[in-house]
Amino acid sequence: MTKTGQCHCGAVTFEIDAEPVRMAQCHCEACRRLSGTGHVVHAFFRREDVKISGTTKSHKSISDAGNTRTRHFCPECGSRLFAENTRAPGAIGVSVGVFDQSDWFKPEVILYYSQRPKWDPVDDTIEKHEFM
Amino acid sequence: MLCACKDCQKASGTGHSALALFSDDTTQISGETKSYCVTADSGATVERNFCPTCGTPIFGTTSRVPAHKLLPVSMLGEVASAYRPRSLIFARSHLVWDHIDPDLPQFEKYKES
Repeated sequence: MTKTGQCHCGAVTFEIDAEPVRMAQCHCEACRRLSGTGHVVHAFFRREDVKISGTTKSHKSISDAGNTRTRHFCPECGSRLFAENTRAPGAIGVSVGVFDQSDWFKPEVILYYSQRPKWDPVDDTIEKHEFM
Repeated sequence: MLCACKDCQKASGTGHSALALFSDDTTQISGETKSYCVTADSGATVERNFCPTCGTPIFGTTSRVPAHKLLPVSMLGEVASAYRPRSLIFARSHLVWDHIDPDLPQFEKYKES
């Protein structure tokens, strides 16, 4: 099933004709700040499977493990779109909130569970890691 | 409150925003922000302001609640640990995979106050 999505203003659109290779939820401080909520949720795909139209702006930061994370957002409306990490070259995470339809999503793993805010409950059946 | 409107889903990249409402009298924002303004289905004007460097959502305003700012809770750092959402608004677009407290009061659209 082809998966499509776009930012809030429509300047950036994407199309993916593949299934995700990994689905995850992360509660690290950077993910909480960047989303404004208690976590981010990402579906990861092979980079070549994600066709992106439009211009994103990127911001790089260094993770606890020393990897470089590049986060992409729409410079016009600020929508949180994509993330890449030197730890997993060739993969790209797509923020699940920007898909047109995402009923297929279910996180397989919860990362940085130790930093989860108390007010942000999680599904207890999902595998949890205190950090990565 | 948590807000599961489609616009909050795009701004956060998740299933909902986690917001707290503060009076302009008690809120000071330092640094440059970029704003993005839309007219909601209800006719209200909603403005979102984000950091132009990293895209972090900083604050929102709505014409429904003048002289107040909606702050994404996670921006508040440690202070946010005391946060307790009291409702989920725009439950009509809440996504099946987005896990929330099942006892949280839900409103199909915004909560009339």
